Amino acid sequence: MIVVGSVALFAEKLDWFKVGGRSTLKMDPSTERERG
Amino acid sequence: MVFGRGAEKAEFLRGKDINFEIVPGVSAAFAGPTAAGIPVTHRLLSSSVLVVAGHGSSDGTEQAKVDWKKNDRAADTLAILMGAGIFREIASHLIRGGLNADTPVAAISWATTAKQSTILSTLGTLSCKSRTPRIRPPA
Repeated sequence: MIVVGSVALFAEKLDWFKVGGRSTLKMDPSTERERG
Repeated sequence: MVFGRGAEKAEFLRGKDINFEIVPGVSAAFAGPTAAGIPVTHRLLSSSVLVVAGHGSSDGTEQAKVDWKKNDRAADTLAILMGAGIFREIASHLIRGGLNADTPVAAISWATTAKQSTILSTLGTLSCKSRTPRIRPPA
């Protein structure tokens, strides 16, 4: 699923669900570059 | 009941006089974002959420086409399910409908499992074929 809207940024702020102690969050590489 | 043909199945069973039980639960539309740390509403950012099926029925019996023009501004947050193969098209529709290409998007798959993945992106990135991240269902 996709969540569209400013609340999506909470995925980075509240990255709480860990698998094996590791984050499940990835930044899209293109988006990361644009954000600097 | 949200998506998953729950009501259709219940109607069918009732029509055949077959007993069944419906167990109320939390929709993936809300459980998925929560597992990814995303509140679908927020007192300061979003007072409404719209749950949308990314596509109509695929079995040809009917086709509830998604009216993206109606949906793109209908709520502060859009939770779009069942669109893993067409996120690029969905993102393009939403941009054409007036949403900013910089609008944040989180693509969540396999929520609450050991295979959970969240990719944080933007509508602009999702709409660009060469840059669309691979998102596998269930998503």
